[in-house]
Amino acid sequence: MSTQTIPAVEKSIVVSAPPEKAFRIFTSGAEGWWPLATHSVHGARASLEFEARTGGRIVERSAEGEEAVWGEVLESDPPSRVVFTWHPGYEHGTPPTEVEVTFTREGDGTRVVLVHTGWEGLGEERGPESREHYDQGWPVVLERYRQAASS
Amino acid sequence: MTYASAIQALGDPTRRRIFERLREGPQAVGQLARELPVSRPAVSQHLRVLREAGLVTERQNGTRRIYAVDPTRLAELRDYFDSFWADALESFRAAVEQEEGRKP
Repeated sequence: MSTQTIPAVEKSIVVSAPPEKAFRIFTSGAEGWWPLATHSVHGARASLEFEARTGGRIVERSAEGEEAVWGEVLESDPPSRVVFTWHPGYEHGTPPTEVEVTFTREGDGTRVVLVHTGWEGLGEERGPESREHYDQGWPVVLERYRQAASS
Repeated sequence: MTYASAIQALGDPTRRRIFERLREGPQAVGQLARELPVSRPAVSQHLRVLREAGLVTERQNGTRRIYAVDPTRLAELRDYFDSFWADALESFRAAVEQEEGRKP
């Protein structure tokens, strides 16, 4: 049995929209809401593309066109579920962590649950495969995210 | 502590095992090396990476170096990711509500 080195982060919210809309806005509509000013590599002027299909990428691009790949979509199952790797700023060779988001009808709205895991075991099963997905072209540190998120 | 270095430090399976072992209690390098299928210099190197990432502390006890997990740093890392996603989801919710509000 593997221990969770860092316990999974789980967040749950309810939005006033049907699952189809919630899924769409979360994924292909990510640029419309993701707080780039505080949670990004290149800041507010960057663009974000969430390719909502299995094998798609989540890519941030600076105004100058520099790409920062945050992750790859492992599973896309609209409108219920999307799973993607998460490795913004991870050094080449570091196994990515994993985020799973589910969308479930609740009353007139949708319950959105986000679970961020993979701190302990992902690398061992998928090591070589995960490494192929990396495309680190810049020296990013998550400390920028921390500082931005804390301000 | 930079969180990227902590993630990178924990990304290595052997380092994770060392870290998990230390979560059970402080250990000397020699003891760790005896328990793991890696050489003592390799263990020392892994401990150095963990220390530089702020995840473990080191103290001298006579001739031995004792390593221990720094619980504060781990809690900080956990809290950081918790707030990160809380902020992102709040922004998502606001965008959904706003879009819904524009419907005729």
